[in-house]
Amino acid sequence: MCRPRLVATQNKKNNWAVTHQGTHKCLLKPCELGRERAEEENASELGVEQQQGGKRKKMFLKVQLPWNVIIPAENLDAKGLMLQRSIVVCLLDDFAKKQATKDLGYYLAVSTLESIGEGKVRQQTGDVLFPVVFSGITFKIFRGEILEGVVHKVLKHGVLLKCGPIENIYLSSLKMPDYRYVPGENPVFLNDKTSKIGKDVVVRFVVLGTKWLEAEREFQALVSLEGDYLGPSSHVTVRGRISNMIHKCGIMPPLIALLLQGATSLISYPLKLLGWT
Amino acid sequence: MSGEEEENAAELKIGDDFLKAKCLMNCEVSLILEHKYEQLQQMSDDPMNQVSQVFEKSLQYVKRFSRYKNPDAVRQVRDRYQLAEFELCVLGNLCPETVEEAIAMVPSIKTKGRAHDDEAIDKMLNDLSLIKKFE
Repeated sequence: MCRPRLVATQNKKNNWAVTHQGTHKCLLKPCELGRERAEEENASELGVEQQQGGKRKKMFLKVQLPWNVIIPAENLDAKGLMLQRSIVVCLLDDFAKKQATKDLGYYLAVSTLESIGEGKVRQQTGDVLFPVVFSGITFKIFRGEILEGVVHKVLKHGVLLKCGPIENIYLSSLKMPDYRYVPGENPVFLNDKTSKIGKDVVVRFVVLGTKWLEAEREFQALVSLEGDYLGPSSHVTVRGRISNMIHKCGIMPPLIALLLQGATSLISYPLKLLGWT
Repeated sequence: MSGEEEENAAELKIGDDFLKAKCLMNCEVSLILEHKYEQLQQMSDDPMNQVSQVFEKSLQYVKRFSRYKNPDAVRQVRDRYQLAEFELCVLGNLCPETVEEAIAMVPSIKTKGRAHDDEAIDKMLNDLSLIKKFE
């Protein structure tokens, strides 16, 4: 375990914990999210630990990335803090512009700047290039993964869902064989068990395949409902839960709607009185 | 990166790049992004203008699909049951209610030969739902 001199600086606005070190490749302990605040307030107490692989993966990922930041000559400042500030600002800008990459998925946010390497002057322009390592959050979907998304468009041959930054998730009607298309002003897909897939409905699905579009810097995905426990989710809303319960009791569908309306207004009224809503 | 054909989350096979990455649950991402958003709010009057589209959409998504407010408690469950981070995140995001459902969502909890019988899984799901109730 190496313990480099840790110069943890903190910019109140951006909350960066910046480490400066020699050639050692030591990283800040990845901040466990709940503790992020505390860490920011007490950056100097951060433990330094050698970090080796062993981390795993998921749709939302916390990754460490190397990156090159180019600072124009006019932003170079002898006082260290200002330089760090411009590196951070530059990094944030680049990060936002990048949007997504094929391998890592969508870039959501930078969480900590881990280290700033030695700057190198670029011959022609006089800009300085700093290699930096930072942690960030990305979002990528994988084949075989089970996810929840929200329907935003109902077409004749299937529905389009969105799931976080990905807006083009296609669920073909072929992949939801129990459901049939019901046209109308608000078209929906219905199945025999009165389960409905319409606009703004939350659906749990399995990912069949993904595609990276280089030109748009976007992902597309093809998903399916073929599998156990997939379909419109009943967990997400209270309404869903109630209708599930009633469904189990076997009350007629029109009654359910009536009961539902009654139930939600009954619940929300006293809440309103208490000022909870 | 191992060829795309081999990527399959159901079998816990994901590209090499992610070996060093850490999985986050929706609720955790929601904490981080909301915190970021608050910071932006302090800096400018119109924070929505400052953030990228990706950020905005993701924040919306995780706000809607965040199940826990206390991720530390959920992480305790993982330690107790030796779940892989990926598995924990799926369970934490989807909140299955029955053992069967849990296995359908995360087939690897059964196949990895880690002596997770139905009873153990049931207990784990119970713990998770208790955390949700009492946080």
